[in-house]
Amino acid sequence: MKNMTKRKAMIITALVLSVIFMGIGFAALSSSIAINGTAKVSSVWDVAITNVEMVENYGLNPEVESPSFSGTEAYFNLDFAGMPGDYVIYEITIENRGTISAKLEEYVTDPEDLFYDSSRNVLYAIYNEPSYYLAPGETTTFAIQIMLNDQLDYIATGSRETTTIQFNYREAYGAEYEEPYE
Amino acid sequence: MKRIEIKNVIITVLMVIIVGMSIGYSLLTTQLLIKGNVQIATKWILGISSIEKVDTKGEAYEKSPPNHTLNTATFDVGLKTPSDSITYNIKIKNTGTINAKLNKITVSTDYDSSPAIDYKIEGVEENVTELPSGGENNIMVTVKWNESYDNNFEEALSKTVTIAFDYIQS
Repeated sequence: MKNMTKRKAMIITALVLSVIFMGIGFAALSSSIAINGTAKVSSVWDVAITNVEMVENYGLNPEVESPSFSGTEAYFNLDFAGMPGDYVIYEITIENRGTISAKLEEYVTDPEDLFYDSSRNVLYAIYNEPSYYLAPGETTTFAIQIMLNDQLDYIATGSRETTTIQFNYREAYGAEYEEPYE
Repeated sequence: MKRIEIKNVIITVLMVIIVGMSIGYSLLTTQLLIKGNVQIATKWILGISSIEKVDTKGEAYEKSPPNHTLNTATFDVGLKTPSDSITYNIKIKNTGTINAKLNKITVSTDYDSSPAIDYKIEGVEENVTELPSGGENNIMVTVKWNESYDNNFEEALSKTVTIAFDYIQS
């Protein structure tokens, strides 16, 4: 009985400490709201993909369907049936529709070397990388090129691959937002 | 007993607060995903599209008409006197979507075949000749009785040759 009471006291202490630490974390996050002069108590966090469109095509159009997007995801489906060197360029728009400044912390790809491996059958390139900071209401536009490699001795016809490019946005702290764009 | 109940309530409340704060924190980050599905459906199709006799010298004659499949062309000729010859034009067409290049020409003959019969290949060169998508290569193959051998040599009188044209993606 005594042991159980002791254990519960320890659990309560741990939980109280967790709440305090998380509270401190929140306080840090909310500081940007104060610096930006946003007096709203109920802020909105909403960073989303708001447009995807093909802006350039060289060679036979490989689109199986038009690209689609829904807030946090965009999707394209290609079937290269033409010649090596054929490519498409998609322009993608990300918008901060919320009331909190956002920062692009990183973007990661799967496969990891998507933008760097020149031995791939299909090459990917990113142009005009998205802005690192997005104030409320701001948009950023960048482009992704997908090209059938024309520098290989051999292309494996009939192959299929799926790729993912992930952009990780988080709340930008007030001081961070004042930094010059990278 | 009542004290234990109070502690239980406190633990529950604190846990609810922590869960609530965790949800609040996770809402302030977003992962935007761009997913792609890409298939390569390019076509690698090249092959022999025709074989045609284009020149006859002397008394050379066709024992049977030439024929071809996508990968093989065949002819059978007879040569009666020195310097007789027949020339065939063999067309190789690239109907695929990938440019090709002639990588290697391999000529192989039976070991006991006649030294008096020569084969000559013109119109293409290994490692040089390109065959772009939609394009065509014209290969001239000439079979000739070498005039340095007269009618009286006592070696084999026939020669079977296999000529392989090895194309690669360029």
